[in-house]
Amino acid sequence: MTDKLDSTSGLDMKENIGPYTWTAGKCMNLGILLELGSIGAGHAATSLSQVLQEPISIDVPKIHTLPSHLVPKFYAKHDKPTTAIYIQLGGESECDILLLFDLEEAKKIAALMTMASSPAEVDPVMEASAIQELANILIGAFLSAMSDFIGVKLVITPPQQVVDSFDAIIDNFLVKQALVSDVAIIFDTHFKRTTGDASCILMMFPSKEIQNILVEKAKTWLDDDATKVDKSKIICTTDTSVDISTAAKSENNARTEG
Amino acid sequence: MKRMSERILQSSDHTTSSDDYCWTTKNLMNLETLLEIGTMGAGHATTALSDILHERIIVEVPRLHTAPPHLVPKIYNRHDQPTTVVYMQLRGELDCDIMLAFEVPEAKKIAALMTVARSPAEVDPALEKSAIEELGSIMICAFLSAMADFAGVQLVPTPPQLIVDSFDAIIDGFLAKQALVSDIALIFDTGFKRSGSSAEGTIVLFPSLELQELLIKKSQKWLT
Repeated sequence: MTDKLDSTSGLDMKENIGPYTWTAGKCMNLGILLELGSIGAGHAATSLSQVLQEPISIDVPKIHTLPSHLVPKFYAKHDKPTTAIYIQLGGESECDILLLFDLEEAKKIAALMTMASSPAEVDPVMEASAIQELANILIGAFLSAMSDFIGVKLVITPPQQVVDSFDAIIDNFLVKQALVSDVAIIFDTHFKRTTGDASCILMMFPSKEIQNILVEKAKTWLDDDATKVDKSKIICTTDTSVDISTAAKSENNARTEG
Repeated sequence: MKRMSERILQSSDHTTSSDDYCWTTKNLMNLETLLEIGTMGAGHATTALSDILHERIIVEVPRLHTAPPHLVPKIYNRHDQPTTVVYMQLRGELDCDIMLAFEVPEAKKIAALMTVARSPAEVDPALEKSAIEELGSIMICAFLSAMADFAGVQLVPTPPQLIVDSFDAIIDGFLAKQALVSDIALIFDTGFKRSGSSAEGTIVLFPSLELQELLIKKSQKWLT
């Protein structure tokens, strides 16, 4: 039941507030996560474009904070056959990352990658391998952009392929989040090939721990940046003081000469 | 039913279809804008309270709730608590309900302080009512004038009305109004406390979609 409001999503960190309540701090945490996701999404789209040698259009990255049972309704893809590649973050901080294609779109992309003349010609084993490799590249780019930015190691498991209806695939990941919170937090972004009409979705289900780690690291990064600026200011002031003293010296010299 | 996010949290962003629970950089910024404007108003209102009572006032972190209307009573979790509320509404096209809520004994204590009575029991009920209404008028007007100065609009409220009822019964009416036009209620609130008391007062704002839109638009103009 979503009516139970005492258990909260991770975003509010130490503030003890419910999932529907926003303070300036919580807004900032969500903003940080969204920004990190956007950085990753940009890199992922670039690598997809490089693999397919095609321009990729990318949607505005979004974070959804909604009751778990509403998520399938939100995507409204219910029984659509979907090819998903699932990668998980290793270590204690759990995070599920999914790359979802329409079944047909996945076939087309596999054909492009294997230089086959039509999707029907691609060997199914080859297709699975190609799609897994693509997801590995994309999600790898996504995570390495994020980890470079905040300086935290993110190690991933090998990719696994799933072909099922859309709702069946995401249900598993929603259940995991539903165990600890009434509200699911999902980051997603849509990619589209300029020549195709189907879009591909990159979804991330961050656990509370990984949310906290990412937000904390990003905040220390912001603080470090601020101190760096301060240091450069200090250097500037010492420089000017040197200038002043040398100027004073030359003045003194001039006087003594005079 | 028109979704709130389509109308306000995504105002001027018609390209992305979105849901009430979906956050992009843009609508997150709109949310922060509303929160910030509310914070300013709350600061002014509590300063006014502090001036009247000659006492320190502790202000809580201002909060914005975006929740399905039926969950809002659960968020506050005050259900049947007897509450004294001063209620004011904005006049004109921009509809907005504003209320100042105290627990009943706390309202009595504040009225005693304002009327320089020795104990809450000594205050004449009519005088108590008048004092609390006056306090509500002062605080809510301080809130509104801070908001109006920032956004550069005129916000004229109706005279204050006093309501004493259980908390949920009072907010139900305001929630119903918001539920008519949106799946999600958007509520701003701040809690504050006199330093000499443990009871909390709350200012709660139920802005209409039009007012939300206007505040966001004006502050965006102000920023650029």
